[in-house]
Amino acid sequence: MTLTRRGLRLCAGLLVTGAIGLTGCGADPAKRAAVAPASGSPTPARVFKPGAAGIGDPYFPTYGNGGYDVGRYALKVRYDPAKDRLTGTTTVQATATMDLSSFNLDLAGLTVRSVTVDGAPAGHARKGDELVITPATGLTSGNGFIAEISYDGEPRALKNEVLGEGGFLHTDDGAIALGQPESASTWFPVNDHPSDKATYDVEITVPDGLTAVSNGVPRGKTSTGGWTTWKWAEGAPMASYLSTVVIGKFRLKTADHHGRPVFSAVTTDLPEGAADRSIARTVEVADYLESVFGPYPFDAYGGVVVSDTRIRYALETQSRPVYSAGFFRRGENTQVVAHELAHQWFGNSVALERWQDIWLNEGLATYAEWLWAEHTGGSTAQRAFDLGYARSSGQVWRTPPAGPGSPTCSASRSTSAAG
Amino acid sequence: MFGESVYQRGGMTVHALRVAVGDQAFFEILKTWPAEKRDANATTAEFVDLAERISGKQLDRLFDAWLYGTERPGQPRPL
Repeated sequence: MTLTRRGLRLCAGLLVTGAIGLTGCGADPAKRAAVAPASGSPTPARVFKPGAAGIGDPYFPTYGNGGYDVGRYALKVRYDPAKDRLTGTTTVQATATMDLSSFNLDLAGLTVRSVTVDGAPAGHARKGDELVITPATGLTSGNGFIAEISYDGEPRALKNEVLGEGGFLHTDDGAIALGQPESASTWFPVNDHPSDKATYDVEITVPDGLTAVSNGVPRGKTSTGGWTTWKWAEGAPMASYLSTVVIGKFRLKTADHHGRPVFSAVTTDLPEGAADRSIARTVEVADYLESVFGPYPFDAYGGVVVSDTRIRYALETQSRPVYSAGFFRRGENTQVVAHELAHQWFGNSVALERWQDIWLNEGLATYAEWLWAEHTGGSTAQRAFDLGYARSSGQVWRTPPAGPGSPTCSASRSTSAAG
Repeated sequence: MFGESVYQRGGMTVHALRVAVGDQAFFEILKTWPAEKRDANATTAEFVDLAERISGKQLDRLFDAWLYGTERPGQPRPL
């Protein structure tokens, strides 16, 4: 993620506010439920318990859920911008990692109409931003299951630290679902934490004339009765915050690069110019980064430029970053492209296990910007370091990158001393 | 959590590693990390382990100062 200059100003003073709801430094993920032997019974009885309402991230205790591992999401979503109304069906293919009597998904707002698990109607209840699903029979540890959730409503955004509103935003001509660290739960039920990656198949139906862009490989579009369905497939495991859908009026550019599709979209709010030229250099930047970091990790390339003033940043949404138009106001800008593309290796393909390690994403992506600048005849990486070393604020030196929001945890380094 | 430190000091940490281990080991680390962890999840501890394994150097003090310290570390030097 990269903030625009304007966005950077917004977050001054919020630099160490990350420890939202911090409950402890060493919290473990939910433990497997024990299989209790029943005395007098020939076979031990299994004890089915509710899955945890959080995946165990000390920085964000309510993010994600415990007791299962998602392999694939299949989303079918219809959005009517005129009414700001979303209707969706999400199919979650998962494997139980404990004997589950019920399990949670994260879902903010929206109304759940029906839930099935393995084809049978299942109970469902809402507790804040948690959807609690109780299947007709318990789910056995190690077994796969398929949950299908139908829902609708007027999507609402979430307040994100630093970034302002995150998640599904209704725009002038469509919508943008984007945000870090959370966004996905505003438009589909999800295990919303990067430690549970999954593949995605996304179908978005919008009024004819609008584009609906998401992650991965474009699978074509079909129109019927005034509505167009855009199909997308992300076949590499993806962290949920890297999912996106952007709906609106865009100039589209498609191509093929190394046998992979390139699909880019720039809002027609902008006259054709610096944003288009910058995004067009995506494959050139990706090829340079590939020479330094090894093979490009995904099946597609691209970029999306949006003009909604609530988006003051760029985010490395998988295979197709989304950029604020603000980055291109002063002309061509491939630094931000290099940053977001570097995340395809560092942050996306290699994803965080816990949010505290966010420097692994941002430090390496920043360094990639320095390498790209040097490669293109600008300042050297050494010079970038020297400037940062000489001029960084006291706040930077007081804030440990590997414990940015949790000073009380920063002393306890958990690395092994293996050398 | 998304403050300047994880970006700017994070980038400087990567450069400090480069100075400490030399270009050959450094660029091998940059290629090996995404190859070994492709499509997976990873932690800071695993990155430090990989850097130590590839460089053959003890990097605890470097990473302690750059990632966990609360004051400006000394100028990085080759180890």
